[in-house]
Order: sequence, then structure tokens, then C-alpha cells
Amino acid sequence: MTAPRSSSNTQKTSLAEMMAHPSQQPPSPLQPVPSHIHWPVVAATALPCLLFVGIIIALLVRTENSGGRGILSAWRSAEVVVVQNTTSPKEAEDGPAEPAIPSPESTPLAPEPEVALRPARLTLPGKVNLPDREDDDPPAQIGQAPAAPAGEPEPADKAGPACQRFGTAVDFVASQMEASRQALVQDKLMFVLHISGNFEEARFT
Amino acid sequence: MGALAQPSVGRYLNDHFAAAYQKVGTFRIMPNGQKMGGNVASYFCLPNGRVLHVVAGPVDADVFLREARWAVDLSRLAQAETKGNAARFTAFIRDAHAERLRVEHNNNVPSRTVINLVSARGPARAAALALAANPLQARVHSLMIQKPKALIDQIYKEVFEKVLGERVSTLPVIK
Repeated sequence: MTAPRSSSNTQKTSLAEMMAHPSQQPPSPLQPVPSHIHWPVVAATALPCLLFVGIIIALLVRTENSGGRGILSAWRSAEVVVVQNTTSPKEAEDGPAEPAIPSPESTPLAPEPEVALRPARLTLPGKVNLPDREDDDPPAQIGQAPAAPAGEPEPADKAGPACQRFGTAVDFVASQMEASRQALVQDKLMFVLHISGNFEEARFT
Repeated sequence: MGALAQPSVGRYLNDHFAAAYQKVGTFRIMPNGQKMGGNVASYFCLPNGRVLHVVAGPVDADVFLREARWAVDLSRLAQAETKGNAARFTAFIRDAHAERLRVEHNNNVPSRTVINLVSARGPARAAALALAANPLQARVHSLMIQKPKALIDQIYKEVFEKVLGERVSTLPVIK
């Protein structure tokens, strides 16, 4: 007499029979589908990246709130400049504007001290504010009369700044062309002296 | 430069003229310090350089002042008489020099005859050449009769070389 078969033996036999004949295995809805993505690896790499991006965003927001010149403010000011250039100069001059170029000293990561936010005045190209220039210099003295050589008697030199007398009582200008111009301007005639020798030196005239 | 150093001459020239100078010749300084050669010519011109009168050679202050005043009066009278007419202005200048040549240099040649000498040949030409023997100012008046509307650049060589007997030179003073 044979021992009665147990249920486990029956299941095992049925499983074995099923495994021997896979086509005969019915599909199970609870059995997971094998995937090609290794989700643990993905999680291990994505989490640090997300964390890094979150830190950066937090810092940017913090600098914006503290009133410093961050990259976001620079982007915003650049947009403002682009918008303002399309408007009339008068409209651009009236409203306050922010500087288009960020300060080279500011860095997006460096913590900026908290300062009061002041609207910067937009300066149009070609408009330069200079202090008033006072002309304190006296008019230039042109053609100072040379000092009389020693031992040469001559009257007091009262020639104008552009004339010389060379020991005479006549005011001589530098050239005939200048004399012609002066005569025309002052409604005078022209006197030209042709000499042998150097008129400037008494021993040569 | 004795005449130009006089205050009266300087005052008159400064009031009525714009003065300039130009070296056109040279001279030699001898070992004993004496100057050999050299001369001076004074031109009274309109602002555009047209010559009204010339004083050739060194003169004293009175003569120089008289010639300067004559040039100023001649210019004013010519402008008043001719009223901007260039041909009449030229004729006026020429007649003025002819009158001075006749009166001051005892030349009895009438004005019309003097004018004919400009384009004359033969005996008239000889008469014109005879004037060249007269003193310097007579030569100047004769030159102004022949060229009454010349610019200073056109006659300065003739004044310096033919009237004064010098040579136009750019050489420095020779010691």
C-alpha cells in the first residue's frame, strides 16, 4: 500500500510539470516585469544633482532679497535697457534706470553687504557732466619786444605785443603779409622798408 | 635809421601805416669797421601792395615825414576823385608823379608829353633816358610814371638795382 500523496507534493509536481512545460504556464498579474533601468543608480546620481541645483537657487534668491547686484538683477536691468532704448530720449531721461552693466566687483556667489537700494541715473551717451571751466589765464602775450642790446640808445619801447621797433619809433610787424592784413583791417596804408643787412641788429643796418 | 628813430616820424607812421621790413640786400664790413655797400628804400603802398610812392636811399626825418604825408594825401585825394574807378585812379597817380617831377626837379616837360613817354620811341625815348641822370627821387617819379599801378614785388628790384645801384641779394652780411 502506498502512502497518500501530500498537497505540497502535488503542488511541487504541478510546478515541476509547469516548469517543464512553460507554454502551459498561465501568466501571473502580480509578477513584476523585468526592467532595463537600474533605478538605484539613477536615484544615487539624481539626488545629489537636485540638491546642488536647489542650493544654487536658494543662494540666488537670498542675494536678491538682500539688495545686492546679482545675476538676476543684471538680467532684469538688461531687459530694462533694451526696453528703454526703444523709447524717446526724454522718456528715458525722466524715469530712474538701473545701470546696464553689472559692477565687476560683484560676484553672484559672494555675499553682498546689505545696502540701501538707490536708483541709478541713466546717463545718455554724449552727455557728460563737467565742472564749469573758468578761464583764469590771462591772454597770451604774443611777440614780446626783445630787450635792447647794451649800449644802444633807444626810446622807451611802447610797441604793441605783436610789433617790434628795433631801435626806431615805428612799430614793425613780422611780415609784409601781416602788415597788409593789419592795414586792411585798420583802414591804413602799408609801409615797407627794404634794407641791406639785418634790421634786427644795429650794426648790420 | 635816423629818420625812423624820430618820435614825430614814428607817431605819424604808426597812425597812418602798418609797417613791415624786408632784407633784400647785403653789405660788407671792412676790417676798420666801415660798412661797404648797402642801402635802404621805403615804400608807401595800399593794403594790397600797390605802390603809391617810394623814397629811395637814406633821408633825414623832415624829408621822410614830408614824403610820408604826401603819400597819405595822394591816396585820400585819389580815392575821393576817382570814386573807385581803377583806370582813373591809375591816371591820377601818374599825373601826380609827373607834376612833382616837373615842379621839384625843374623838369619843364608837360604832363601830356610825360604820358606819351610811356609808349614812346626815338627822341622821346632819349628824353626819358635823360631823366635817369637826375637825382634819386626824380628816378623814382619817372619809374612811377612808367608803372603807376605796379605792386611792390614788381618794382622793388628795379628800385634797388637801377635807382639805388645796389644788388638784390640774399647773402648774409659779409665781415
